[in-house]
Amino acid sequence: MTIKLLRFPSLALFKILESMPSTDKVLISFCSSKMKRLMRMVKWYVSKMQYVSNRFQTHIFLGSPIFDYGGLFVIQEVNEFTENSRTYREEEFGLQYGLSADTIEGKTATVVQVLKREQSSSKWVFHDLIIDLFRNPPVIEYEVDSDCDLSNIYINETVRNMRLSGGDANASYAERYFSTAMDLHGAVVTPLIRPQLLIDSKLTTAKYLYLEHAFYNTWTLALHFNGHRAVFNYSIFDEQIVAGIINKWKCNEGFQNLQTLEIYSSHIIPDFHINEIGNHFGARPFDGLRRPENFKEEHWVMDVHFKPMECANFLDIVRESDGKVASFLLTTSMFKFCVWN
Amino acid sequence: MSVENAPVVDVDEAAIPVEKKMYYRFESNDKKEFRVSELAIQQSETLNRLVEAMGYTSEDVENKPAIAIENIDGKTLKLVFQWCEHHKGEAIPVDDGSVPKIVEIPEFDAKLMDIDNGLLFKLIWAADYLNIVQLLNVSCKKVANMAQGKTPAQLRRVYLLPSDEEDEAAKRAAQEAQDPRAREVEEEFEERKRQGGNSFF
Repeated sequence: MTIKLLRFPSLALFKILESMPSTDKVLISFCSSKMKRLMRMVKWYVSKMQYVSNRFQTHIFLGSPIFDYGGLFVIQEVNEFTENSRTYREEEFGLQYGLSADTIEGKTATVVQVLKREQSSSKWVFHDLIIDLFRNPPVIEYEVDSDCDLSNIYINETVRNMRLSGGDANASYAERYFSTAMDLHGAVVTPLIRPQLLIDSKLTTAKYLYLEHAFYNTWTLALHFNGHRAVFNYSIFDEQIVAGIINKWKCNEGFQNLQTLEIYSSHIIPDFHINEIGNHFGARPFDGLRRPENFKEEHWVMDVHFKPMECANFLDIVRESDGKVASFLLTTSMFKFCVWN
Repeated sequence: MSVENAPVVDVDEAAIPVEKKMYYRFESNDKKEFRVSELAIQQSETLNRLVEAMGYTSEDVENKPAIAIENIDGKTLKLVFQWCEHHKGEAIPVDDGSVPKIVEIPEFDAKLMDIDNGLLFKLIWAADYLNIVQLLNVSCKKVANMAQGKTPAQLRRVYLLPSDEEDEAAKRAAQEAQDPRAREVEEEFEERKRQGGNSFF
């Protein structure tokens, strides 16, 4: 059954194209230059392009606020295309892709086979073929397992948010992975990274940083963090780090962009001298005339929620050089620090 | 065709408020006549404005000729009015430019559109011309669904999409049809190039 798509009135043509899931939108753009031009004109409703890689394959989610407008490509490396796939030859470089349909969790996905001998170029060309269709490119995000071979993973340098998943990760592996980003907006790290990361780690440049198993990495990353918000879970930290952070901020030697910093200990620290730290920095109780009661901003990065913070029971400190106010809360298991603008 | 012989479009009488119980007569381009309730007409912005502008009374509807819809045939118009009668009184979706709602095809619409693609093509043209927003939405969704699980080669076949080469050939043919001298000039130019001439003039 056939139908002449390009003979429809323009309103209908655009409705048809816009109501397709984004995988179909991409594939129809492969049909001709005219279709590519047309697909650049339609609305996509795609807000992010998320790569999720494990040792075996890469998923590319085209994420939409409305699920039906999204789509999923599954990239597989093969020695030769399987029989059920149809070959698509891209024109500029002559690269070939084996395309077939699959169903994953009840939703249609498009499997894209790339030949191992040209997998590297095939992946970046495929990425560009998609990105080229957007007038306003979506946010690019990556999630990579810690046991992947990074040389087999295509990571576009315009990536904005990155997540490292899986079991324990090597520090140089993590560094290499996150350093791919030119401008790292959000970084989420779930595995324990060891040996300890260095003070010039790429992670210190992320605007939003979340470490699920921070351990000793809190020592370096928290002290040298240069972004807006950071959360360090399962941290090993002591008074020295807390004092170091407060002192660095008070002396205006760092944390120029900081909004909030949260450190949660992996265990109770019984010998924390909470009052002494407060006294040392001239901390004062909350004053409604000095700053708001709560830090209200919230932000999401790759399913991690940087939550608003209730700061009424925080102690306030003032930076003498510019009169700026920060607040902190220190208990035997956590340290929260918040800078007010 | 007389009013008595006009195709009957199923009408749910009980659903029509008493004061709105007025029917209009329309005629397709192949002279098929239809009686359609006023409430059903409201689904079509074009027809709604037309009947409003005409200011017909009930007597006018019976005495004056049926309103001609000259570019839609009877088979297509029957589907259009069946759809309008079934969905009469329903709110008309408004496109505010934000992310649109997902279009679900209701069972009635799916059955109505269980037709060959030629007729579906005409139905979409009719929905567009008559400005029936929701009919256009569901019929376009049906065409969009044809893409599911298809490779580019299959999409080209289903949607009869010309390749770049075919587009180029069609463009050349159109240019030549417009200017029969163009080909002669081009051939002469090619000939001179073969002979080693630097300039055409």
